[in-house]
Order: sequence, then C-alpha cells, then structure tokens
Amino acid sequence: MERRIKIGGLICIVIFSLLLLRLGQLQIIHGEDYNRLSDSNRIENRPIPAPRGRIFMQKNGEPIIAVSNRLAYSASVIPANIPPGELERICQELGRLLDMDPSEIEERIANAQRPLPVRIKRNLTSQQLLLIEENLSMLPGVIIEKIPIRDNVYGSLAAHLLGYVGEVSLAEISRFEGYRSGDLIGKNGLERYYESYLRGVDGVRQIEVNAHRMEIATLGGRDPQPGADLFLNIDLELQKVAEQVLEEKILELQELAEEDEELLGGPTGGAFIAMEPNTGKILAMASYPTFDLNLFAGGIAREELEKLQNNYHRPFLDRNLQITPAPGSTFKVVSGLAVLKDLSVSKTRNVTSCSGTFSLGPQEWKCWRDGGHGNLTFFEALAHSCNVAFYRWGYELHNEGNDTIQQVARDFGFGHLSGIDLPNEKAGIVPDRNWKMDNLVGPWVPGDSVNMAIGQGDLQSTPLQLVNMINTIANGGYLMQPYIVDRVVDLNGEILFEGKPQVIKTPDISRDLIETMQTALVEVTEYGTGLRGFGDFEPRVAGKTGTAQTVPGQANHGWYAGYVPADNPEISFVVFLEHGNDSGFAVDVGRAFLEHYFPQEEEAIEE
Amino acid sequence: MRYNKKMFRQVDITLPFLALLLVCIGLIMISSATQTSPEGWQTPHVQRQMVSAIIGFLLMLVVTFFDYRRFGDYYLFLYGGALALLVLNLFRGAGGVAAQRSISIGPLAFQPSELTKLGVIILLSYILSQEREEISVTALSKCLLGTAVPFLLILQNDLGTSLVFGFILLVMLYIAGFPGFYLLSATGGLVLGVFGWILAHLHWGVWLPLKEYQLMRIIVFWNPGMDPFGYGYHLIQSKIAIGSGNIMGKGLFGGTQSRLNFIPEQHTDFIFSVLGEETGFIGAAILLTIYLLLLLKGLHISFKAKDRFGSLLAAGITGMFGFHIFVNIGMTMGVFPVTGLPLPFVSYGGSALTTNLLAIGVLLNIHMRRQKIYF
Repeated sequence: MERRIKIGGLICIVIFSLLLLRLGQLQIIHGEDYNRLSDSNRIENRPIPAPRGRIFMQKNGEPIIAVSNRLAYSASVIPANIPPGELERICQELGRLLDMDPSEIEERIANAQRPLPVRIKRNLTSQQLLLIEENLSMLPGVIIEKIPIRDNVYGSLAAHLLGYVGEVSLAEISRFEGYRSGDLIGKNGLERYYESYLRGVDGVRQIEVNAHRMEIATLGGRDPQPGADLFLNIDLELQKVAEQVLEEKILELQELAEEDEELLGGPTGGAFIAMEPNTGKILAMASYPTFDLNLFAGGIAREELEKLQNNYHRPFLDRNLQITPAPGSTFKVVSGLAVLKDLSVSKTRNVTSCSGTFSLGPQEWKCWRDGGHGNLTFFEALAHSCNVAFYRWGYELHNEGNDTIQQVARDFGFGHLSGIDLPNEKAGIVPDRNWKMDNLVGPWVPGDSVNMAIGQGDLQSTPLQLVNMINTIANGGYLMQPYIVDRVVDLNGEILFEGKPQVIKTPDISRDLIETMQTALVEVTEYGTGLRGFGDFEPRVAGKTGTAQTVPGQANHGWYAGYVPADNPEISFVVFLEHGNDSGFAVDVGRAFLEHYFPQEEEAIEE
Repeated sequence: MRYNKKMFRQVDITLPFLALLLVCIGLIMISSATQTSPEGWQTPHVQRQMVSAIIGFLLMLVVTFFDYRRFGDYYLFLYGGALALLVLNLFRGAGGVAAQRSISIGPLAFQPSELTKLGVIILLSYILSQEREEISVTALSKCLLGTAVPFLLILQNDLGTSLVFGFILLVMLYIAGFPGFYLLSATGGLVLGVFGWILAHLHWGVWLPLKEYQLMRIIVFWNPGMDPFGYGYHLIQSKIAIGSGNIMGKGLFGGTQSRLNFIPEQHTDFIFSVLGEETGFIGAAILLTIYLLLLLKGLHISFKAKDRFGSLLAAGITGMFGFHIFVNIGMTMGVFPVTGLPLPFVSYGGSALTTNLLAIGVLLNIHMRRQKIYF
C-alpha cells in the first residue's frame, strides 16, 4: 500500500510536468502566434466615411450654404461577424425591423466587399434606431454607425443642377478607380461632375470589440478628410424665383388645360436659364418638374425611386441640357444673321411680303398669321416673326448653294456641347447635306432649308444652347462658355480650381450685323411678338419668341430667349415650356422673373 | 466526540494554507473574469464565492471534531443520504430543465453531485478497508455497484462528473492493492471499448448513451478546426487566451480574451484560461505548483494514516482533487476533451468549493489522528 501511494505521488509529478510542458509550448513557444490571434479577435478596423464637400450658392454676392452634411445613423452589417448559419435569420429580422425586403438585404450582403460594413439603411428614423439598438444583442454582425449624409438645405431647389449621391454601381466601380462597393458617389449634376473634389478621404477607426463583436473601446485611427467645397455662380434668390415662376405658370396652364382642350393637356415641363452676358456665368437654372433631393440622402427606397423613374413627366430629366426640342422661331436670330450676311438685304426698305403662304411646287407652308403680314422690312419680318419671309429667305439661301445658316448656327453653339460643367449634356443637331445623307439617307432638298430657316425640321437644340445664342448677341458677338462653379476650395482655404470666363468662339459675323440684330430684337419688344409681354417693361428687354411645332396631336413648345437691359445687358435668359402651346406663356414666365429682378413701379400702382 | 488539546498540536496548517491560497487566487480571478461589462465594477459573483468559502472553512473546522472513523461506522447512511439527494434532484430535474443540477435551500443552491463524490469515497474506503491484501469478489462487486449507481444517474447530464466516480474507483482499488495488471487492462479495455463504440456510432449509427454535444466535444477535441464557431470555439478561444499570456501575462484584469468575453464559462470551468492569459507562464506555473503540493500533501496524509480506512479515504479524496485538476487544466489547454469539471477551489461555484473545503477538513481529520498514542 505504501509503495502504491508513492507511485501515485510519482504519477502526480509526471502529469504536472507534462502540463507544465504544454503550458510552455502554448505560452512561450507559440506565444507570439497566439498574441496575434487574440489581437485579431478583438481589434477591428472600421472605416469612417469622409463628409463630402459642401456646395455654396450666392446671396448678395456672399456665399450661402445649399448642400451640407448631417450625421445620421446607419444600420450596417459586418458580414465577417455574422455567425455561420445565422445570415438568413438576421436578414429576416432586419427586414422586419427596417421594413425592408429580406432578400434585398441578403443580396446586398452577398455583393459586399469584405470586411467593410455594408450599410443596409443609411438614415434610420429614431424609431428604427431604437428598435435596432434594443435588438442588437440578437443581431450579431449588425452595428449602428454614425455616418454623414447629404443635407440639401432647400430640398428640391436646383435639384437637377446639384444632383444627388448614391452607392456606386458595379459598372462605376470598374470605371472609376478607388471605389469599393458601398461607397457613395455623385450620380448626376454637380455631385457627379465635381465628384473628385467633393469626395473626401475616408478615415479609419481602430476599435476593440468583444466576443459579440460589440464595440467596447476606440484604440486609435485616422481622421477622415472632408471633400473640398464648391462655390457656385448660382444666385440663391434668382434660382428660387426662376423655379417659382416656372412652376406657377406650368401649374396654371395645366389647370387651364383641364377645361381648354386646345391646350392639349398643358405643358409637361419647362426650363429656365439665366446667364451673365459678359462671363457666361450661370446665375439660375431651373428645370420642371423637379424632385426632393433629400429623398436620396439616406439612399432612396426602391419603390420610391421606381415611382419617380416611371413618372410620365420624367422629373429626373434636366430640361436645360438633356432635351433637344426644335428651337422654332427663336432660331430666326441665327437665320436672320445668315440672311443679313449673305443676301445683303436692305434694313430700312420693304424687302419682302407675306401673303400667308409660301409655295414650292406642290408643297405649301403657312405663316402663323392667317392672311399674312403684307409688305415687310427685315426688322418687321423678324419682329412679327413672319414665317413666309423666312421661308423665302431660306429658299434663296438654298439657291445660293451654300449652307450659311448651318455655319452661323454652329458659330453660335448649335450642334455641339457647350462644355458646361454638368454631366450628360446633349449636343443637339444642326442638319446639313452630309448629316441628312448619313442619318436619313436622302438628299438635302429646298424644303429642308425652308424649314430650317424658321428653326424647324431636323434642327434640335437644348435650352442651354439657346441662352448661349442670345447671350452672344447680348455681349456683342462672343460665344461664352457657360459655367456654374466659380471655385473649388479645400479645407485649408486653398483654391483647387477656379472657373474663368472663356470665349468658345467668335462667330464670323461682323460687329455691324450683330448690332443690327440687337436693334431687331428690341423692335420685337417695341411692336412685335414681345410687345404684349415686355412693351411697358423698364428697362427695355430685347429678345425673340418662338413656338416650335411638335408631332401632330401634341401642343407646341413655347420659347423665349432674351436679355435685359437691351442697351447694357446684365442678364440673358431663356424660357422653355415643353408643350406650352404658345410662346406667349413663355414670355409671361420671363416677365414674372424679370419683375423680381427689376421691380416695376407702374405695376405696383396698377394693382 | 474524541479529541483533546494535544491533538490540535498535530494539526498541520500546510493543507488549509494551500486551500486558502487557492481560494484567494480564485476570488481574484473570478473578479477579473466577471468584469466583462463596460459599466462599472461587478461584484456579485465574488461576494457569493466569499460566502461559500466562509461556510466551507467553517465546515472544515467542524468536521475535524468528529473522528473520521465514525464516517466508516455510518458509511451506508452517508452514502445513502448523498445518493437520495441526488435521486431527488434528478426527479425534479426530469421536469424539463436540462441543466437542473442543484437543490435550493433558501437562498443557497446546492449541487448534490458534489456531496455524492464524498459519499462514494467513504463507501469505497469502508468496503476496501475491511479486506486484506486480497480483495474478494464480493467486495469488488459491492464497490462496482456502489460506484455504478451514481455514475449512471449522473451520466445523462454530466459526463465529466460521472467520470470522476470511475476515476475514484480506479484510484482506490489501486491503493487497496488490487492487482495492477488487471486494473490497467480493465481501464485500457474500457477506454478502447468506448473509443470503438464512438467510432461505431459515427460509422454505422450504433446507439450511444451520449448527447449530441457530449459527442461533439469529444470529436472537436481531435479536430478543433472542424467547427470553429460551434463546438470547437471554447477550445480555440481558451488556447488563444492562455497562449497570448506569454511569459509575464497581460496583467491582472488586463486579459483581452476574458474581458471581452471571448472565453466562454470563464469564471467557472475556464478560469484557468483567464489566469493563464493574465498572469502568463509564471502565474500558471505557480498555480500548478500549489496544486502539486496539495496533492502530494494529500498522498502524504494517506501514507501516514493510522489505519487502512483513513489511508483509503485520504487517497480517494486526493484522487478526486487530482482528476478535477488534471482534466480541467488539460481541457483548457486542449490535451483533454471539454467536460464540465470545475477547477477545485478556484472556479466559481459554491457547492464545489464548500464540498472541497469539507474534504480538506476530512484530510486534516485523518492527519490529526494519525498516531495511535492519542487513543
């Protein structure tokens, strides 16, 4: 018995020696490896999204903030932290708490680039935040992040111009460098065009987490660098006025159209642009219908986006530069110059007459006024916007065998991009012999020139090109590059980019002819188609109306392009009413806008 | 009650001192292991453990007043009583709650299985003390039966504890002089048999009286990487904790694995992982040394005991401690499958602590009465 007890003691010593050896193996030999493992257990690097640069408009020459950031709570998932087999349950639970489709959440997690957090919902309501926080212990892998989201101070103001941000698409990831899935990117407008400036550099936060992957402490990290700020030429008050007068008129016409069948349903949209004549600075740029940018702040819900996308009036379309309707009679500024340049017509004597129709073989074109305008001087033809006179001149120019109208049109910016600092601009079309051969497979016939002289046919232009055209007359013959951003300034106040006035082109038109056209445009107001709207307006407005025909059964587009004051222009502007039926309504919009810019005393007394 | 003043001069304070040392280490580690909440200092576990320790030390003192041979006289009563408590508890537990292992007396909850261990040791000591060098078949059968009953009763809920009974039987038969060759072959045969049974279960689906989790713990012991977030998790995280302690440890209350809850059951079964992480190789080696001294002291008492009964009793108690210590520490370091055995004196758990201190009292008792001169 004693011997066996001694053996027992020996066994104890042996076992404990073995345990000690094992201890040494774990702690001394493999100690460093286990140290690393314990650190990777507890340390996580989480990105801190950088706030995007802010966007400032102007108010009385001072910057005023239009787009900023605010902190929001995001329900995010760190895929690596979801215990195996739990994914489906967590997606179900999140879907229930956030009122989302669980399969959508699962899809987003599946598409994510590990180990980054996948932001399932960026802008939690306080109730959702509470729900998630209460259930966090049942949702391993789910975290609540504080992230900056876009705050559009004025909601829908300048929505098309400013644009919105959204998560990068797969296509964008492969197209642009430095983006990972889940990152935000400007989707359109200035947010897109100036993306590289607006986007900051994300920071990183090294945190300690516990076994439930819940954050315990911050260990260190790197602060995010905010993006650079944009300072726009856009004048806040003018922008507000532009949008307001445009919307009021369109709503008024839509209401009228409900009773008046001749309006064919009323306008479907509109555009307004105001530009500074000598610089090309865009002062206001409105497109209707519009949408609330703040819908996109936290990522827009799928159905809400689809609703907007499927809206018949296409609110996402920037009608300033993404549509190309026919310019109609506003184009007579260009064809008029071609006439003055090539046909050496007298400015004072009657040079043409209008009987109401113009015939060419079997074809017949009508003037907009039944019975015609009678004998006309060049000025009268333009002031009354007589179609027959321009048909005839178009035909004469055609017979000369050159394409002066096209040349002048191109000199005034038609047919190519203006180069404005916004994405997705359309170039429009200046049709000519080659274009017609290439695109419609047919020869250029006299009728094409006839149509083109009044801004119809295959001619297409954006409202932006029209304001640029009228602006070239206003400033005495310089096609300016339109631009919105005055400067980009980083956090340290350093100017990274500065917008400067740039002459794109000096049209091959003599100063003399430009001044003649300026006179003609004043006469439009004094006794022509602008009389009703601007006849009594102080200071004098110069400009041209236009009613562009569209497809049969749809209302015409209404146009007005002008500048003011006529003798020393401060502002050039264009009004476009999509299916607005009559240019007169466009003139109304222009007048309503100008009344804010130049308050009319008489008006006040009359009222 | 047979004792006198001279007897207390024979009291060797080494054993209670070692126990006290271990209890203090335990209290410190429990307070560290329960600081997992970032909000403030949490003490309820430490307080409860202190109460259990005080009760335990009082019981230790009280038990020295009774001559240990009285335990032999009442062996059936003591064994039967412990077994009755166990059965009673099992019936209550059968009501549905799986982890129902304790009996509540007022605010105190007690796990009768702890007491049953002592009951079995007393039973075996008595039966075997009646035999001379040759152990009769009758005695052997009694021993087997006496161990098998609690073994089978507990097996269903607590594989680790039922293995303790088997190990106690093994140790005591050996000390009592049962032929080593038979013991070795029987144990070896049993281990191989169980191993074969498990293999048969895995390959051919043969019925096995183990629960899914018990089986999985054995399987992940061979291959912890198989289920790193499930059954392998405890083992992996425990090894990371101990390993990352290096030589000096991360400092008391500085263990990231424990503070951030990566170690499961860290104040009970995996308290050694916390100690290994926070005090490093040095701290863990010191603890191992204290345990070794405790066991050697226990065997020493067995060696010096006045009679065969006392010798077997002391050896049985020492064997019980040894098994717990080896299996628990081995488990945290991945050299033994994960079982629910606590680390004696250190793990949080009132029943085990008081019972273990009571057992120390029994050892003291045997030691105090080692010389015939007092009787």
